Amino acid sequence: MDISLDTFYEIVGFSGDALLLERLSEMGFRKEKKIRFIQKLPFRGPLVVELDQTHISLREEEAQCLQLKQLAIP
Amino acid sequence: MSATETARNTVALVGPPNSGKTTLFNWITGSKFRTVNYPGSTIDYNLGRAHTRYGADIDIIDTPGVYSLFPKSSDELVTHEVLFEKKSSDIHHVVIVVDATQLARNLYLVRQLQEAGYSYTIALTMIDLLRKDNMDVNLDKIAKIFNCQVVGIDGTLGGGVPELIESLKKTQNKNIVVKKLEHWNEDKRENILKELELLTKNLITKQKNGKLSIFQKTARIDKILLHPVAGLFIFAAVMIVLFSSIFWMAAPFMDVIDGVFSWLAEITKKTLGDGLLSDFLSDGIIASFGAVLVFVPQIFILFFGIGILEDSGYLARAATLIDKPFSKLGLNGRSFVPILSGFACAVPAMMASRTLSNKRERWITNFIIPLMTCSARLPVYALLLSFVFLGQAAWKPGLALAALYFGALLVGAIAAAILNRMLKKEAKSFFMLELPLYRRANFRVVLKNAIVKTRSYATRAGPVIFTLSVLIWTLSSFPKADAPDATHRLEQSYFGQMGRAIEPVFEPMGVDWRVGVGLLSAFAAREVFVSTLSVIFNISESSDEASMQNSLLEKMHNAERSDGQKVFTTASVTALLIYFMIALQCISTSAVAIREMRSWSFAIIQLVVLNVVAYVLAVGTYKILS
Repeated sequence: MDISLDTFYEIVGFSGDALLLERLSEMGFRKEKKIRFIQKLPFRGPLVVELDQTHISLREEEAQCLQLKQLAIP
Repeated sequence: MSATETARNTVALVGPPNSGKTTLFNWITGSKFRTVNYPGSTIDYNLGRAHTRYGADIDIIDTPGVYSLFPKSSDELVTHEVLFEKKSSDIHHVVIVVDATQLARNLYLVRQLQEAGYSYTIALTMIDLLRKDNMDVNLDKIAKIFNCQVVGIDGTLGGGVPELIESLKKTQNKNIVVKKLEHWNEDKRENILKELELLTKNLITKQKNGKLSIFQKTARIDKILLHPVAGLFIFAAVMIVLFSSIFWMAAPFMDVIDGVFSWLAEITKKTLGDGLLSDFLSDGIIASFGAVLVFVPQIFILFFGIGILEDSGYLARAATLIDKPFSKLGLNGRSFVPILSGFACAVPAMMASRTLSNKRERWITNFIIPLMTCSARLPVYALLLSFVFLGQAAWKPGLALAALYFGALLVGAIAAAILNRMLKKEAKSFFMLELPLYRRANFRVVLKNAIVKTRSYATRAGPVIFTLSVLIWTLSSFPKADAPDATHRLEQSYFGQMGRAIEPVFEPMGVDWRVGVGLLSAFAAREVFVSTLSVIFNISESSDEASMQNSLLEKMHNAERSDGQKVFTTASVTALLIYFMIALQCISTSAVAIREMRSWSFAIIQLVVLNVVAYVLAVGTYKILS
């Protein structure tokens, strides 16, 4: 997955498996939310995302459910 | 639950994972609770009573953490069943535990319980974290918005708990009608999340940058602990420290317990003299209790260590680090905690696998858990390794023990990989794991939980081990033969006759009926193998432990099969070690497998496969080495 660490992204939409999308909402991921990836584990392992004031590990496939728009570097 | 208990006021604690629910539960109940099984189902949960100092007659149910009322794993199903499958009159009120630092995200569950029709109080935890940074939260406003009582809780000091109980007293005996929720579609979810965020926007007075210092600290630590390279090294180091502590920390306690039981047996023999009752009490009852309880320190230390790692926030990181390699084996990062617990005891380990949402992953996880080197294997390894390496440098058996640990992990990985290829992929698997803020572990809560788990091991496994040990003692003591020594008496006992009947099965492993009997008895508990061998080889009764072990080792060296060959050779002992490494010889494990997987076929397949594979590999090892 082609994302840069420590860069802010905005969630602009969702796509993928219904179960994953439901759980993503339940964990607080919604459109317009700003998130940041803080760590990528090797061999396409989980990505660690900062959402509000918490970290959430997402598998690549789960992170791919988020449609993202990169925000200008602050 | 009994009829008298259901008539009491019962309140359920519900909240997302890491919201501080269990800490609150411990504060309310004064850490006095028990795990109860709901009649007619497999669900169980912690039930406690409000501490007497609060002067309230309220029962409290602690439920597994949930993000929503749409369950996606077995533990979430427990919460769902507590809320919706129990008679609604059982629960009068719900306390929704909300992390004040995660307001908008955590209030999502409040909206769902509201829609379900529950009357509720919001317990706002982690207030102490906000106040530490000179931030505060407007409780009155939240109360107004959600039209309920809101109480702030300080998890470290227990502040707010008396106020919470007072508010619960006012809500007693309300007749409530609850209903399961209809599906929430994406639009509804989005709208509610957005609405909650707007509602909570000005509820917290913020610092300049609005970030909690503990979150900033967490972010800095995660840069290191989740680092692609350094993170893995630290993970390995943490595991090495954890596992080595099981040995060096437990050893003195184990010696004490062993000493106490040896002393008890000796006193009994001296007091009662020779006779059936004396034999029964000392060799049957006391010896089997000793065999069960001697492992309690190791199990406790492992649970305590896991508890510290979990409470401080590290286990979620470990699960993240290991998710990718585990997923290649059909497992999940969430399988890590159950598999780790398997090194203490497979029974609680299988119960810990409830957090896995995917049935297939749970199947594979539970299948390989008995392969982990549980503490009951250790005395067997200790005896067999000291036989092989008698009189040699101490590092050799140490290295061999490490090889057995890694060997078991390797076999587990191979088994998982094979199952991953064989089993059909059905439902979607997900990992998605919230990483809690790093905090100093709450020693009191961790200690209490480790004690509860250890006690549950002893009370769950204890009676089975005890009953079977008594049975084995009886079978090996009768009929009372008029033979010159214990070995011959045993040979003519019912157990000896059974051993002779099954001897052909164990012959290919290079051992005779006596070891076969030991292996059979090991199905009560693996460690019983050692005590059975002691009985079979009639070691001299002595209070000096070292000489007891040396005497057993000497008898093992001299033991001959009927064809005149030695029973215990490097080849046959290695075969035995391989057998113990793989075989599932634990009735409690199979019982819990049936319960957790709700499937007899799973337990039977697991029992047969692990024993057959263990047997074939043991026979193969013997043939190659001899």
